[in-house]
Amino acid sequence: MPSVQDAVWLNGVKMPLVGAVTWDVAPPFPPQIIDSEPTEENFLPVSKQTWSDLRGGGGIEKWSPEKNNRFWEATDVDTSQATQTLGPLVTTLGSFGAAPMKIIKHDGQIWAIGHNAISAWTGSAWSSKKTDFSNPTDAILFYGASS
Amino acid sequence: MDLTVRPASYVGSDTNSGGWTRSGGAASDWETLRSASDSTYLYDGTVSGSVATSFYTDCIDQDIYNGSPSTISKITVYARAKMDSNATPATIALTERDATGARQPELLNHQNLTTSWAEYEQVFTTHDGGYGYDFGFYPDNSGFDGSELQAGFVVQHGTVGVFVSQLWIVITHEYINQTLTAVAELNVPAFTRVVNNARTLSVDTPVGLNPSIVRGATYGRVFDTVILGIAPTINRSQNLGTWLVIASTDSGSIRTRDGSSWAVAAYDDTPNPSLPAANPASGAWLAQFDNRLTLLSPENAGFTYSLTNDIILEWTHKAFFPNLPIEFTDMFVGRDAGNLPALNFLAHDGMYYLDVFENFVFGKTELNWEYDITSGKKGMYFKGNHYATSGGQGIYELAGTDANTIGPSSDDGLPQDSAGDIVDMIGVGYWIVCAINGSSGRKSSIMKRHINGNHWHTVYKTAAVNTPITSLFWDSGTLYFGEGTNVKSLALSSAMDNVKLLPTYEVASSGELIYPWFHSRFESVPKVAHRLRSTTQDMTSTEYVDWYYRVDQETDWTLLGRFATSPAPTALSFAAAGTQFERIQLKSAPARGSTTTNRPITESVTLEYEVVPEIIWKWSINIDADKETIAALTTAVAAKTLLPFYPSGDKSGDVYYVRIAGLPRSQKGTEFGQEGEYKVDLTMVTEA
Repeated sequence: MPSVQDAVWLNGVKMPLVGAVTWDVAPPFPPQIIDSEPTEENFLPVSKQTWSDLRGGGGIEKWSPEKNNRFWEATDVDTSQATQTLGPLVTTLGSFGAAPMKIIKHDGQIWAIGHNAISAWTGSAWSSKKTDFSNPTDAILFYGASS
Repeated sequence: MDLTVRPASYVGSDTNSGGWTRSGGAASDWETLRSASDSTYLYDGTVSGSVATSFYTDCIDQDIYNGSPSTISKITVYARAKMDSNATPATIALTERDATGARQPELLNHQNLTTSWAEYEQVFTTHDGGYGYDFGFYPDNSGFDGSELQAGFVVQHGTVGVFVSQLWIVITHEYINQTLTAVAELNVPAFTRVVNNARTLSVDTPVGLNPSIVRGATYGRVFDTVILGIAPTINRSQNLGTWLVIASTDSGSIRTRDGSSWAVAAYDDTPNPSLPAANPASGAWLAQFDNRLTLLSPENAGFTYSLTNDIILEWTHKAFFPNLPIEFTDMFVGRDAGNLPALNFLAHDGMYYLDVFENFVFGKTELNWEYDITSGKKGMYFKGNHYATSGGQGIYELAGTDANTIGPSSDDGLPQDSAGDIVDMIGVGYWIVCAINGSSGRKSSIMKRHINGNHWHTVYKTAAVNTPITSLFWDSGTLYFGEGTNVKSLALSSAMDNVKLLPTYEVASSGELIYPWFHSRFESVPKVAHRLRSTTQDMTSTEYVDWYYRVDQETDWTLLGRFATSPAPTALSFAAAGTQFERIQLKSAPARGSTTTNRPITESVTLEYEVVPEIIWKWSINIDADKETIAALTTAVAAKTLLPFYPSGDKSGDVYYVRIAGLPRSQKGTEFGQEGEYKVDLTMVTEA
């Protein structure tokens, strides 16, 4: 049968006890004195983390308070404004058939230039203009003598 | 090309029996009239009333041709005629018909004759019934419109005699392609320019064939007034137009106006300056500088440039400039330190300047780096600064003489599946837009950065790996880009960045946005997530955002729920008891319905959570203290390190390390010294 506790040990010394030992939980945070308008952080009992403006851009994998307007990555979401919404709709212009190394506008049409494939977009299809010019690298418009 | 066909032998017959008679030296009703002579003629002395009197040649057979099919655009029938008195004028109408007798309406264009010999003509662009001509160029199987042709005339009115001395046809062809097999009467005009189009004509039968080639160019050369002692200059004004010029690493350069015809663009005239435009020049990179078109070789050396405003006549080639044993990767026009236009080129180790047309020197700029085969793929001058890709996702900005790194690889970089090399870069409005080729096994993406901002936003990311984005082009609100073997486009306004204000702006059907890992300010302290709230716009049952989360590890995402109303949808719960986390990551997945201009908008999202540290105990005890205990308490309260405390009074029980937080007491002296009752407040300072 356990005996009645009449002492505690503190720092290696047995100390006679008067009455019972009172236990309590120490609050982790000191009481706050608010001398300004309360903010979201003062809202109890839960804490709040808000993301709104993400115009800071992507490339932040770990959050920090000073980078609260950043995100990690986005796909088809426009983050360049204060609000976020879907990114632009992507349209495929027919089937060009080669890796376009250069795209340029000429004679009122969009031209795509790839390996042995130079074509102009008519608005509904690619009109082939040349098929024997290999490994193109650059294209430019030049205004000059025409003949 | 015109083909003149005159009678070569007996070709006529009088279809007006008794009306037409031979005259002069004619041996038959109608004979060869090959020269422009009126010495022999056909004569009808009684052309009268309104009765048409017609006459036709024999058929001119297709056998006079030996060539491939072509197109006859028109037939012109000519005649020389006159009448013998000037009473009531007779008229003549020239006509043609095929072998079947079908002919043009006779009265379509009567012309008054005079008493003097004169030439009359009539142009026909279609045969009777509106059929095009196939005379002479197709097998004789075309039926109605025949393959053999007759020329003739109709005269009427007047009680006078009518003379006709010559009748011939000029057939105007397009796209003729024939082989000369017999001697023909060809008079080729002299050419002042080299034309590389071989034109060879032939006929089996000698006929009057007079081809001519006319060039449509207009050259106006004006010699300025010569002042004594001053050499004159030549100002040349020419027809101007826009050329598309394309360069290649292995095929030199080509030019075109409209894509229907192509020619070599740049030439190396050095080997034979007297023969310009004879040797195509190699080169991969193009730039317009000082009103000339310039071409840079793909590596080592070679610089070629045109005349001012003229890429046709002459080119100058510098075979050993710039002399740099490295691959050249781009060329563009920027500004030098004096804010004057300067020509720059890129290599795998930096950006160089080119001082050309007079000095022909080159050198490095402030933008240089260690050799990197992924670097230097694009450079540009935009809004007052130079930009050059420096390898991987790096971009250098040269502002004055200050070089800054601004690429998407700054901060924490890009996710692994988005890593790659920047292959193209353009300026749109105030945005720098770059294409990142994710290479094998990765996705590619297009990103943009405001020139006054610090970081990058994703414009587009490929749905699949191995579909590299290779090129960018922007025109009038649309961004075009090459992806895989396709060209794609998306709306990218330069004037209205806030796309949700554009009612016609079409959006993708779905997307994903991944937030950073969130630790709160209390890292390594347990936290519990309770709810996720959001402020939204335009959300419906079809335009919504699904939210996902994951905790501590990069595991699969857990669906938290959906926001589908606006402006304040019901908060999403992380379970009634909450979800404990050390770090938590959120992902939003917006989606729309079938209307491409509808989209859900997220104004903000708020995570409600608790920081829940481990328990820190405190105790309050009353000690009946004698002088030894008082001494021990005095020692303990002064201790710097924590004190072991056994609240159970059993040293084999739980121990806590504490600090004395308070020591109010009452004591007095006795015969045994100081004694009293001490109230001792103890507290842990950290978790057990």
